[in-house]
Amino acid sequence: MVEIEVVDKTDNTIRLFIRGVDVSFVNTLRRLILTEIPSMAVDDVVILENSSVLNDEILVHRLGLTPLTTDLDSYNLPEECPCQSEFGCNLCRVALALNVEAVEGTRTVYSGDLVSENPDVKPVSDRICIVKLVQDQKVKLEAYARLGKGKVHAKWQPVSMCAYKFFPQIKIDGKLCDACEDCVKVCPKAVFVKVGDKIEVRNVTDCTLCEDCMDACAKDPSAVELTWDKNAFIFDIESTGALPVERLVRESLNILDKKLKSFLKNLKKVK
Amino acid sequence: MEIKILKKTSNELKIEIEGEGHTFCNVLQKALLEDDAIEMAGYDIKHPLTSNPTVYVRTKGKRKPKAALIDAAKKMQKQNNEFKKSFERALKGWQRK
Amino acid sequence: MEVNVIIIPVRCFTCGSLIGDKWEDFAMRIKQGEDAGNVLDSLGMKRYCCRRMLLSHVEIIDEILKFYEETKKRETP
Repeated sequence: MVEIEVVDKTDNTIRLFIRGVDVSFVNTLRRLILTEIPSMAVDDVVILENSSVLNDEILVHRLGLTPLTTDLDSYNLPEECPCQSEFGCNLCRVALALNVEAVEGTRTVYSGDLVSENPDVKPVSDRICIVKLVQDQKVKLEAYARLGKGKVHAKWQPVSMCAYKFFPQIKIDGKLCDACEDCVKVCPKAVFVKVGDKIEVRNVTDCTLCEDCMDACAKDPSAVELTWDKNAFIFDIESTGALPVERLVRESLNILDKKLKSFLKNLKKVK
Repeated sequence: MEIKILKKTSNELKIEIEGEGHTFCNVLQKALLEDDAIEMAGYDIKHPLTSNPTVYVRTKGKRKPKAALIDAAKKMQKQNNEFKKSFERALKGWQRK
Repeated sequence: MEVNVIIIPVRCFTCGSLIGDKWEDFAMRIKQGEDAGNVLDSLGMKRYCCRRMLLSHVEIIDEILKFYEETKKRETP
């Protein structure tokens, strides 16, 4: 029985408690989110004019790394698109234009200056500095964004963090413990608190399973017992803004489903 | 996801899965090992960049390895669906909060 | 002539989270005398990989732009 609880959620982050699945499943989800979920990023750039102090290559690299909001439903991956062209069509490519000239004095070019042909695909933030221009310098280019996967290039990774840890379990033996506070002092995450003449455990989820508390305890055997539940996880995802976090989880499950279906189909075919 | 058979006997099966990696094979192996009729299950990726994984299954004799693979994949589908439902429920629970 | 120009990287080298839009805010608040740690916290930067990106960054592009600004001034009478 799989039990999931959303502990914390904002627009770009989510923290889940997952119970009842094994490591390999959670690890597969993590790997799918990092490497297989498509997202938009600038892939090709045609530079018409660049008199800025940055080289074309550096400028293009910066554009590539700029995270773009992704409209997964209306676009195809270039390799799966029916057009099959290297340049791409309206279903697998979005053009973004940048045309900035510093007319009066020095000016910074921001990601907000990029004009997208589709309002659903635009930079996540309008305030990303791309380059600075001195008066009369000019940048004029057309950038083509495509869907891609994180395993090909990190710019297509829809997450800036996706990690899990085992659910910590900390027990303090009341008979052995003399409240010397050694574990309170050594714990880097302030998991222990002294209340009266007893040590209490707070914020178990902050624990990083470093076991310093067990080493610090002068008692033998240690009065603090730190273990972890092998089938319970704390799963954290932080999106770059390309896709909403709940969409990332759903999408990763769909991809696994697709993989299993195609595996079954092909397995039944072979003799 | 093309599958090639490398070795096949009455209780052994070795297949190559094209275009996959640890992401898929690790859960598959885990699901296979939960089956009591299986003696051995494992996968190997010869080179992390250039090769496809080979999955090896050996049953204790009575069961066909291919049937065991199909069962394992079906079990994973079930778990996946359960996870999906559970996640949607958890999201609703959060929205209510 | 090729010059190495440095402008704040768009993403954190280690984790890939967006930092390119936070530099101007960060630099301005530091200049006003705020504590760097507090500014980073309020910008929502939790991990030390992202924090070092801003903390250790030296914006050199302004230094180089000075030369271009100066040439421009001398050209126009």
